[in-house]
Parts: sequence; C-alpha cells; structure tokens
Amino acid sequence: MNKKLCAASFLMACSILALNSQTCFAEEAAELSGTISIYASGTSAKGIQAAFEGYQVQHPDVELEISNFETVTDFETMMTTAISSDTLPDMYIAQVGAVEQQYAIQGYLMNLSDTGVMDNLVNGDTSLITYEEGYFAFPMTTAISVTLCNKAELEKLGIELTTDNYPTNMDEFIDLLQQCRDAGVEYPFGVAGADSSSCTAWPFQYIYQVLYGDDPNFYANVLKGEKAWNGDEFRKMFTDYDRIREYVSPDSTAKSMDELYADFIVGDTLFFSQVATTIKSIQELDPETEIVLIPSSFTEKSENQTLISGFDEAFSITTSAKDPELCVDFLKYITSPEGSTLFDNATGYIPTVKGCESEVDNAYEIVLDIMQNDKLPNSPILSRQWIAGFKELLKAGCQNWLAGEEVDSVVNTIEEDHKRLMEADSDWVQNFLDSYKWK
Amino acid sequence: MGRMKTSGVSMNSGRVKVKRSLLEFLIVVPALVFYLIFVIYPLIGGIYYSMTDWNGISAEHHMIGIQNYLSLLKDSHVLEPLKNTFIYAFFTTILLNVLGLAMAIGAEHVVRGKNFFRSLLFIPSVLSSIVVGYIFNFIFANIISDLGKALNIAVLANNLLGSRQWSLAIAILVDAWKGAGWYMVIYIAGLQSIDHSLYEVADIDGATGWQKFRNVTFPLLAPAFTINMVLAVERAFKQYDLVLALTGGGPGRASELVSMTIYNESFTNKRAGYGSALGVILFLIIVVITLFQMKVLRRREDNARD
Amino acid sequence: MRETRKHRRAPRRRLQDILIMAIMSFCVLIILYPFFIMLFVSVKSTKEALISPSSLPTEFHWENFVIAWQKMNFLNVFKNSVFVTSLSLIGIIILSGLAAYIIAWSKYTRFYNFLYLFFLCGIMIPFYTSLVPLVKLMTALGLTNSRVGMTLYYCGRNMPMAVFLYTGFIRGIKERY
Repeated sequence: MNKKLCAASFLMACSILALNSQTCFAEEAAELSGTISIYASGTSAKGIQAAFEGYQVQHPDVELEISNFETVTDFETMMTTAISSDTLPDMYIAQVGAVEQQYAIQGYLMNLSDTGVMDNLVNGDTSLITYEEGYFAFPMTTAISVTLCNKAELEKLGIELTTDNYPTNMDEFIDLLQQCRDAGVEYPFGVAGADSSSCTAWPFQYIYQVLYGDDPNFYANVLKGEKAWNGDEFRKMFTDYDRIREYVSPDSTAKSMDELYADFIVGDTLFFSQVATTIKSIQELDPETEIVLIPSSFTEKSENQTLISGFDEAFSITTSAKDPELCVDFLKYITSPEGSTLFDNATGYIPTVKGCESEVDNAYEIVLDIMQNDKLPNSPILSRQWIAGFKELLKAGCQNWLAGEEVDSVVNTIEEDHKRLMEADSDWVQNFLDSYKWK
Repeated sequence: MGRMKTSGVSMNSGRVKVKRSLLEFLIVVPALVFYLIFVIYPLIGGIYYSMTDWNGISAEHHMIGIQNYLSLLKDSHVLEPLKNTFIYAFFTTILLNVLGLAMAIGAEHVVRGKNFFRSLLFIPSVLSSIVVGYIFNFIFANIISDLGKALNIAVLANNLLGSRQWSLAIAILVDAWKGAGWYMVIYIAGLQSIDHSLYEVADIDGATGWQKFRNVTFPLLAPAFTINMVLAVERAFKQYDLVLALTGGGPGRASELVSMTIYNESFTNKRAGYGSALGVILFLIIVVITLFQMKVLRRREDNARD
Repeated sequence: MRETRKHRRAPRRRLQDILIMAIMSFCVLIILYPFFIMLFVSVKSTKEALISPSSLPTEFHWENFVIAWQKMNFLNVFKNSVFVTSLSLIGIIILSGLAAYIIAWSKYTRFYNFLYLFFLCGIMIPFYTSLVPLVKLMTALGLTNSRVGMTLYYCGRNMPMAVFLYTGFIRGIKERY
C-alpha cells in the first residue's frame, strides 16, 4: 500500500510539475510580441517568410517587416545610410565579407557567442563570421562556386556527367568543350559580360583554385608587395581564360544574366561558372531545365582540384534592435532543425544547420557526394576578405579583356587600380596584414 | 492704409516701400524655406563630408580639409569618366534639342491629331530608365544583331552595347530617344507663343519655309531655347539611371559617367568622403557651365526681342 | 480666314500636309517601337519572353497582369503615388508660382536675380552627393517611412526646377506686354 501511495504521489507530483512547466513555457512563449525589421535579399526573404509562418504558430503576436535588396552593394548602401542616420534594422541576412566584419568591429552587430545559437552550426571555415570578440553572424547556407551544366542538352549530345567522370583539370575541361563543339554546339561556354557577378565568376574560381592552390597566402602577398596583379601568375589566368574564350560566343560582352539564362535553357550554352544557388533562378524561369553541378576544374593537374565553397548568406542581429530577446528567439527558431528546414526548402540553399531535413535539388548530386565523402579538399571563397572595391575593378578588367583589350594593359590597369585602393585606405591594409594568420 | 494715402506720399513713402518689399519677400519665403531645408541643407552636408575621411561605415571620421580635392585633381582614375561625361553632355544636348524642335514643329503643323501626336511622342520620357535600359538591351542583343547578321554588317552583329567604341554613342542615342518628348513639349509651348501675324507677314513677303524658320521662328523661340539648353546640359551631367541600366558603365569603364564614379567611390570602394568631394566638384562644373550658358543665351534673347 | 488660306494654297499645302503626317507617323512608330515590344513581352510566358522577346505573342498570358498586380500590391502602390504626386504638385505649383511671379516682376531686380540664380543652383546638384545628409535630416525630422515625408521632400526637391521654368515663362509674358 505504501508503495502504491508513493507511486501515486510521485506520479501526481510529476504531472503537476509537468503541467506547471508547460504553462510556464506557454506563458513565456505567448509573451513575445513586437515587430522585427529585417534587411534581406530576394531569395533569402522567401526563406524568412516561409520559416516565419512556422514561427507565428507559436508566437502569433510577432510581426515581420522585410526590406528587400538586390545586390550586396545595394545592401551596403542601405547600411551606410542606416548607420549615419541611426536607423539600423533589427536584423539582416546578407553575404558575409570584410565589410560585414567591419560592422561588427565598429560595434553595430550583436555578439552571438553567448546566445547559444552557434551550437547548431555545421563545421566549416568560420573566419568570415567571427571577429575578435566572437561570432557576429550565423550562416544559413554554404555557397558553392561551380560549373553549371545543362544535363538534358548534354545527354542529347551523348555526354553524361556522373560522380566518376567529371573533368578534373583544365585540359579535360577544354576537351569536354571541344566535344560539345564537335557535336554541334558552337559556343558551349557562357559568360554574361554585362553582369559583374557573372563575368568575374570564372576568374575568381581560377584564383581560388589555382592561385591560392599554389600560394595559400596569395592576397596577403599582394598587399605586402611581394606579388602583383600584373605578375606572372595572374597573367597566366588570362592565358588560360583565352583557351576558354575560344568556346565563348563573341557577343558576350554586353550579355545580361537573363540572356545567359535564356541561352542556357535553350541549349546554345551548355556550361557557365557561377554560385550554385543560381539554379533556383533558372528553375523559376523554366522549371523543366535539368541542371547538374560539377566542381571547378581549372587546375593544371588533377590532384590539385578542389571544391570551392564557403559560408554565404548569414543572419546578424544589430545592437540597435528594439527587442534583442525577440530577435534572438526568432534566430534560434530559424536555426533549429524545424525552422531551417522551412527556410532551406523555400530558398533551395544547402543547409548549414545540424539536423536540417530540407530537400536538396538533384542538381547537387555530384557536388554533394564530393562534400559528404570529402573527396576533394576545400578552397574557401576568400575574396570577401579583400579590400572593398576589388570586385568592381576585376569586373572592369574582365570586360575590357572580353571586349578585346590586350592582356598586358588589362593586368596593368588592374594593378594600378588596386594600388590606388590600397593607398586610399592604408589603415585597412595594415590591419589586414597585422591580423593575418600566415599559412 | 487710409492714413498713409492722405498724409502725403513723400512723408511715408519710405515705410510704404519697406512694407511692400517685405510683403513681396514674404510671398517668396515658403518656396525658399522648402528649398533650403530639402536641397541646400543636404548639399552643405555633402560639402561637409567631402572635407572628411569618412568611409561610409565607421561611426567616426576626421576633418581633413581640402585633401580630398587635391587627391582628386591628381587622380586619373576619376578624370577619365569626366571626359566621357563631357562628350555625353555635348551630344545629348544637341540631339535632344534638334529632335525636340523638329518634333515640336511637326506636331504643330499636322493637320489632324495634334494632341494625339503630342501625347504619344511624350510617352518615352515618362518611362522608367530601368525599363528603357532593359528593352534596349533586348533590341540591341536580338533585333539589331539579327539585322546586322542579315545585312552582313559586322559592327551590328554583336550587341553594340558591349563594344568599347560604341557603348557611349548608343547611350547618347537612347537618351535622345527617351528625353526628346520633354523638350518637344517646351518647344511647343514656345512655338504657340509666337504671334501668327508674323508668319503671315513673312508669307506676304514671299518667304520660304526655311526662311520663315530662320528669321521668325528660331529667334522668337529664344526663351524656350535657353531653358532647354540649360536643362539638357545639367541633366546630362547628372545622368545616372539610364546609362547604368543600359551598359552598367560599359565594357570596362568605356561608358562610365561621373555620377557613376561618385556612387562607386562612395559606396563600393567605401570612400564616402572622397565621393562627396567628387560630387561637389561635379556640382561646381555644372554651375560654371550653366552660368556661362545663361549669359550667352540671355544676350541672344534680348537681341531676338529687338 | 482659315478657309480662304487653305483654298488659296490647296495643292502644294495638301502635299506638305501628307508629307508631315507621314513623317510624324513614322516618328511615332519608331519612338513607340520599344513600347510595343514591352506590350508584347507582357503577355508572353516567361520562357517565350526570354527566348524571343520581339516576336508577336503566340499565346496570350493575360494572367501575367493579374500576377504582377498582386505581387506589387498595385492598388496600394498606386494610392501612394497619387497621394504623394497630387499633394506635392499642388504645393509646388502654388509656392513656386508665387515665388516666380515675385522674382519676375519685382522692382528689386538685383536681389531677385541673385535669388533666381540661387534657386537655379538647386537643379545642378547630383543626387548621390546629398544622399547621406538627406537621410540624416529626414530621420531627424521624423519624416522617414511616411507619405507625408515623401510629399514634403518632393515639394522641396522640385522647387528649383519649377521656379526656374515659371520665371522663364513669366518673364516671357512680361516682355511682350
């Protein structure tokens, strides 16, 4: 009888405790209310809204106010005006880079190390999401810089790319292009000269794979003065690019991204270099296009091939947030398995949250196999750490080169313009070299 | 008021004058206030930033006086687009005014449907620049290139906007296409203010169409001409949206205008102070050119009146 | 009067009329051609629009308009535009009209000429030079994120151009009478 009484009271106590804590939890949860203002790019905004629908189920009194931007430069302009007029949003999600690191160093971003949010992050190179004091951003995706291929059109030509037969060095890639030409596609490689992202995509992939492959401290050496943009390595890039240019349509100098997509969908172009998330844009235009992604293959030797990837779009909370607890709570939700599944399903991003179960597009077949089985070493996307404005001057140089300017004058101009940027902000250069960890 | 009238103009005319001139000024004040708050104050702010080393991100900045301006004068990276901008301004001004005037005369002289033509020709100037840039990219990438391939003209076969020699020229043409309607409207207003009796007099004297134009129309259009010339020049120097949408600065920097350089320096290269200085210099250039224009054209107006 | 004029020069005049009509119609076609393309593209499916933008549409996707309307929240956006445009227009016309009248007619020509040139300077300011200070100002005045704020800003921004144009025309009338 004693035992029964004990058990019963024990059960009673447990249930009372459980009930109590449940109501407590429910009360806490219901207490959260307010509006969160977020800056987000088009694709990420969709993800936020999808995840928010799940969040609102538990917290119906919370509202979201999303301000859209198109490119990273637009975002940085918005941030500049917000900083100067003290109207920063509560949170933002944007590509991480040196500029965002500056925001953290200047004190505009909340340190996320103590919030517990970072525990959910998968392993990866965290150099771009940390600063001296800790973490300032939680990345929601790993950007992979790849070669996109039109699977269906390639199969029509009798070429099938699988996890075993993708090109592994420059020669093999050129052979693949030649195969396509022999099969009837005159210009199988596409470049959108008018778009700054597209026309610098291949050069950046080459830089990460080849230049950094040979010298892991490449940019630091450039800043120190030991290497230069008009030096041999970078010149060689244009020589290699020339081999590819053979297979690029001559009207590419003014081609816009949309035209490139159109060519790709129709099959006039079969390959182009870009970040993997581009497949979402193409699928919006034509859901029936079958795409497959292969790793960049521009090294001279197969054993030096790498997969280029790095953390990309990341959430940060600003120190001007009206209700920091609310923002942290929302961030915790989005970075939980449940929230991130909703987010990644809506955006098509590769998940960075442990336990996320979002569907990953078939196109990632080969690349995911490489990532999960560690078949290739990783080349980080390092240009985000470089001096502000570098992408612009590389874009100008590439456009000039595409339009027919001589390699010598192109690389000399890039070197001059880069020196100009270095001179204008010598403090930044000094800072970079002082805090750089030499490999 | 009654008191002032009867007590003799000589004694109180001073006070009357002051009161009237004050009243006059009071009428101008509201417009002036809006202008000072929303235009002049930001300009002064821009001048202030141009004398600092602010980079657009940090909370602090330091005053460095005219250092930005001195560096600007030595910076060839920045002076290159200036050349492009001058070329752009010169040709667009001419084209816009010639086209605008031609369309205005045509629209005034059609027998039927004056309003119809006027409205239709005005439509392009209200389209958004981004849409125009997009459409013309289509046109040059597909239609004109097909034309070029068919007629075997190599230059046209590839998108002209991607050629380093032609991108600026095409931008000028597109600007003319888009803006001519605006200038046409001003010229129409000017044409309508010309007394028809003068034409009849010219007809009686047996003047030909061209002579009528040269001796009657053109001189009497002087006020409208002044307005249009001044506006065309300063618009060309401030042009940003349209060229950005069309070429993004052209292959490399072939069609980059100063306004784009200002944006790039301030926001992309993170040198807000430097960009502001360039903006102030651009402003001063426009002021100088405009004042010069006004002087020359004003004299012409006075001559024409006589 | 008009009839006799026409009657007197009928044959040559009619040829001229036809010629002018033809040239103007051609002008309109050229000027509006890109606009037609825009109309064609607006009824095409996305894929067709990408691939062959300039051809006559084969199928008519009228739902594009519905989707665009909903996506951009057209009713709301239009309401905002009407509000801001009409109110600022009223403000601009009244205030600049009054100011221009005084500038053109006042006997204190030197002072008002200087004021005229002062207004003129406002047209010549490039936009991005004053962007950041402007945002700071608008925030300080509490005018951001509000239609009223936009209206006031437009009033101010367009004041110099309006004063410039009005003064020009009033001076023109003044000369003649």
